[in-house]
Amino acid sequence: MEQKADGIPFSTKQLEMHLKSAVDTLTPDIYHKIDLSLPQEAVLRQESGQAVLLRLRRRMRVFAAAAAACVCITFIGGGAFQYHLANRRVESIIGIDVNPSVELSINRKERVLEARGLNEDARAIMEDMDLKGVDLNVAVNAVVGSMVTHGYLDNLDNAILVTVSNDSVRKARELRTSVVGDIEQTLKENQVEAVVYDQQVIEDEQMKELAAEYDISYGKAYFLKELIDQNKGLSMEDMKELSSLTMEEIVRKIAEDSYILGELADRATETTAQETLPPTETEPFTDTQPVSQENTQPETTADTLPETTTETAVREPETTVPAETEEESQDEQIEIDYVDYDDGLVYVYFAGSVNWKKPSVIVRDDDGNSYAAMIVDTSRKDCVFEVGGLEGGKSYTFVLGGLALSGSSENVTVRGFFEKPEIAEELEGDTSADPDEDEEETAASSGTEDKEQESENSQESGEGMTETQKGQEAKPTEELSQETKPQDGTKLQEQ
Amino acid sequence: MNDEGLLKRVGMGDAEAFQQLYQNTDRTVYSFILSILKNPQDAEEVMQETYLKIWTSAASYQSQGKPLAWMFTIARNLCYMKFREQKKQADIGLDDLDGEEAGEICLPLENLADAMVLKAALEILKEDERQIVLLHASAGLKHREIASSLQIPLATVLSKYNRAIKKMKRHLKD
Repeated sequence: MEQKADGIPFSTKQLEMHLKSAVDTLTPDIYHKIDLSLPQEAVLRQESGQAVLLRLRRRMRVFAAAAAACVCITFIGGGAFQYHLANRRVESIIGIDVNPSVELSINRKERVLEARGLNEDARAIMEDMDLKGVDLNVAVNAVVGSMVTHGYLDNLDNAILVTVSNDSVRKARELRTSVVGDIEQTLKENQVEAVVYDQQVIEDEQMKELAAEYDISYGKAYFLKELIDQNKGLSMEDMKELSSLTMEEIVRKIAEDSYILGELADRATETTAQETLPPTETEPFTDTQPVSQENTQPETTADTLPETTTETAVREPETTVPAETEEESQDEQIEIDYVDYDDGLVYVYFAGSVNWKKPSVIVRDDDGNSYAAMIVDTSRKDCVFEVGGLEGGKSYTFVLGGLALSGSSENVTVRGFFEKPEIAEELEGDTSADPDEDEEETAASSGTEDKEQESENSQESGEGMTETQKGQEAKPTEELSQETKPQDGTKLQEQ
Repeated sequence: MNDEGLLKRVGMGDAEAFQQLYQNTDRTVYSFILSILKNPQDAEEVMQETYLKIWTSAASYQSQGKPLAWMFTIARNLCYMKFREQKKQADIGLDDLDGEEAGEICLPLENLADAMVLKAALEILKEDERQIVLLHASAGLKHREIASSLQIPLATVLSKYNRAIKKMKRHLKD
């Protein structure tokens, strides 16, 4: 292996290679030093006590004696056993909250293992309904259909919260999309309009306790906790009041009190019985922040960031920004420090701090084709979005929306671009793929070029930075030209 | 079978599952421990204790889809016990052990570049940066797996990782 002397720069790949090599060399093999004859603590605590432990240890001795002979049988038997277990094991839990709160536990084949009504309303709508063994989409259709029949989705302010709990982020996302699609279809068939919020969560004991404490679903607890965390005007003391509200009432309260929905908002999808909605029903929740992506006139050309989870064709935002709003927002610019592309994820790092209100993203190629993209994480310094279907060796433009410069209340959009390297396809799935690799780094833009240069110079290291700062054009704040006063029943426009 | 399944089997006393789990995770667990202790000898001892604890406590693991997070918790606790033990023996503070003895790191590595880079990582990076860098670069975990295992946001992992790598580049370049 090559030897490096002090003072010679290492590339990121080289650093990673040496770290890997070093730890590979150092990692000891201590397996044979572990005394497996020691009793397992938790087994002792089981109800059947010592007897379980003794049986266990005896079985282990048998395993040891007959290991070679039994290995094939163990694999085959174990495989069948696991297969059987996998179909009986809950892989995901789908929560549907309106006021009735329903949880569907499903296996990996997306068949319902258990359907639970979490409150009286839910038990009422699920009466005489046996969903066990039913496909998820059929169950969702039945549950939502029953909600409609029982009058829980009968006005213009309907709100539905869909929560998908799965250990795999990817699987959860797929399910989320699928369930939301099923719900939208059911609502459409029943000619009902509703705003559908969807979230994916990983189960957390603390959140479970919170849900149990307030006797609400896990998803609703998660939604409310996130809402409280994102709004200084709310505290855990408000949990009691909020938890007693229906989703519709919660959403109305959010609109009335101008609470920030943050990341929750980008997951909101409005279903409509008709193709378009009256303008009054499509105004944003947060009236104080005129945001272009929430432009509510269906017939207008002013545009809008698309719903991040759909592949809806994207109209050109830059062609729709009123000139006067550009001028007004010149001082509200967010600088992108640099952008990385790695394995379908795009990491955007800001030069300063930002606040997120309704994160959204659109991605287009040079020909104007749009790609499904979704924000997966945000922080004050950076964000990550996932985008699929890109070709290697091409550059793409993205526009982030729903964020504001720290200290400012005005929502802005930020534009940048990145390139998916040819090599990335070969490396997909490679755990050592480097998000910081120079050749994978991409360019970003926002604000003025002067600021970009300053940002570049302020970096801890200039390496890899110069390529990330090339050729940008500023994309200033966009505003709605129409009134944004909130009113009851306001809804977030599907983007 | 994934680590989650293996851990459940280990909890039922399945030694083969334990061996498989060990093979799947030894480098990851060692990287994590080394990132805290910064000393290969101590890391080996704690690694052994960690796997023993995993074996004896596996049945108490409550399935949350994060077996590594659970294993890291065990490892972290044992690392801190090690610190306390050393403190007792040497009558020095934890702070002294955690960072101040950077120059004393001794790595039994023949490859000079490997030694130089790992030494730089252990010396100049903060503990959370070391964990992220070693788990990604050395153990091969994806950033999102690290985020899940360490229970911190993905963006934080990415940000710290990139910052740490730049710090190392600058240090090694000087």
